[in-house]
Amino acid sequence: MAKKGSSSRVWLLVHSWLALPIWAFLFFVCLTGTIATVSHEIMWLVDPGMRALAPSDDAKPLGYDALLDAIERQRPGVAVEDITPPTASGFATTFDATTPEGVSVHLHVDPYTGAIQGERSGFDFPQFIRALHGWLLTPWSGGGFAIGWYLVAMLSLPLLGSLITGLVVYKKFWRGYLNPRLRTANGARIFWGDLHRLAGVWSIPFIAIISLSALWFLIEAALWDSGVSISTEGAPAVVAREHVPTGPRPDRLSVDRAIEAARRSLPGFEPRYIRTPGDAYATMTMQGRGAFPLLDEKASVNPYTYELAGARKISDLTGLELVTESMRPLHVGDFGGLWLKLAYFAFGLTLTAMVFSGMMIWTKRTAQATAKLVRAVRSTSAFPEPAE
Amino acid sequence: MSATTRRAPVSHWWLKWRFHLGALMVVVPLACLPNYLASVALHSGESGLGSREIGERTAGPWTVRLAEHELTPPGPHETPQTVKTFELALTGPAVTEVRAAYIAIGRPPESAPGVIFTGSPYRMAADLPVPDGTAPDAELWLTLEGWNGSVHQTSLPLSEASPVSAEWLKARAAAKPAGAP
Repeated sequence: MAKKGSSSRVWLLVHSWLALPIWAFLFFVCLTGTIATVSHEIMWLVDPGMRALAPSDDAKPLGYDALLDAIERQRPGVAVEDITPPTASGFATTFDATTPEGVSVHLHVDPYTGAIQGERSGFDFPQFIRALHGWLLTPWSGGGFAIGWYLVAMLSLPLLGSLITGLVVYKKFWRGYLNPRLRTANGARIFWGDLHRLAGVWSIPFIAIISLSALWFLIEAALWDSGVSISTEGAPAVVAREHVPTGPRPDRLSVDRAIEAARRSLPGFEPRYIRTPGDAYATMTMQGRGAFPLLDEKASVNPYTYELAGARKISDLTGLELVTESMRPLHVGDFGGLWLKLAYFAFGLTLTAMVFSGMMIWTKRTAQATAKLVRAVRSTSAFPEPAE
Repeated sequence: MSATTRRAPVSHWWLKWRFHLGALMVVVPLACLPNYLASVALHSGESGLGSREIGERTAGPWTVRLAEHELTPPGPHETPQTVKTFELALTGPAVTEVRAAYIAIGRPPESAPGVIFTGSPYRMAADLPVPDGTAPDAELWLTLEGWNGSVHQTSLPLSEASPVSAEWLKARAAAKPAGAP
């Protein structure tokens, strides 16, 4: 018994030391990551231009070609590059475009009327918070991953370690489900301890998902930076020279027709991202959810003949790719609508609170130990040291 | 007074605060913020075309503006290949008449005019590979291809398009021992 007791003391020490020295950094990363899960929804609340409610229950959104015509009428000459359909009902359709002055803008367009109701350029909050959380705004240069990416992804190790050692230390942790306990009247040390354990058992799967996917991000960066690729995707499809017409400039391509072309190969395909060709020899590419809820299927369409130039179905992915490519959606929680995002946000706050409560437990416990130590030091220094 | 008590405030501070020093990691994003904002402005075109505009160049009936994306020597960018990124904007009638724009080191054959610029007509970019041993006084060639099938070319010295790249190539050539392959 004594042996068992001492081994759990060791595990508790390991558990305490895994995150304590870096708790403030881990706290910062957890908090920014939590905000990032709902960054688009925050913008929806802040920016009325991003909101677009259906005028009536039976209202149907306009097609993409009609929306593009409406944009051309309102902003003549603007060049649309990508289209992001509403991520949920109540959101506007976003067109990323370049103005004739050469400035990139996000145009938020009402999908029912085609009215440009919001325009943003430059600083983008969702992009900023993602960069702050994911790589601490450190620069990407030299074709490799940013140094901040490694610093953040390395936190997966203490996080995963904390989860495992926490479960070892917290015996019969399932009692936290059956008999949840949060004592508020017994002092700070008891309160933070109860909160830490309660939050921990309720977010075991979440912490496992976040730490394992973050560990993959570390491996992914290391693989990329050492020139190892596991992708079977291949180079993007291009348009053959003979398909590119010579003569008058062709009319603007029809996005609706391209989607129809993609649906011939991917039945029911609903794009959640559309990219217009980057040059005269490039295809139009689209991606949208397929049979597997976590991952997108991709299609590329010849913009002159409207033939399918390439498609990547879920079944084209290797088992390894299925796992590794699922890591990002699992980490960010953007694959199940608003309620899943809110669940990720809530568990993110819980995890952030666990980092904080872990530190509080340690300082409360240590404060007492330190006070004892200081008393001991004072009593020894009461005896004058011999002169040197 | 003993040495122990003289050190006490410092060691007390250290004991109390050492485990909160991770908060100093916030210095990293704070220090990177100006560079991040400059990069956002560069990539969105808010700070103009590229980091340094080289100027207008005319090929046949068309005029384009050319710029260096960043004021850095050639290096790896997205792929391990050594490249230098240039930006280009079509102007006037070229916006609707030019089908594709290419850039190459040395005069390219019409069948392989170089690297294609991608993006919108108002701001596109190309990663120009800079092979080992490129002469610092090499010429850059722009090839413009119209929807009507016509092709027009123009050239400019690399040292004018990117002084920093020409300097970098000079330094590399000087560092290589004479007679080395």
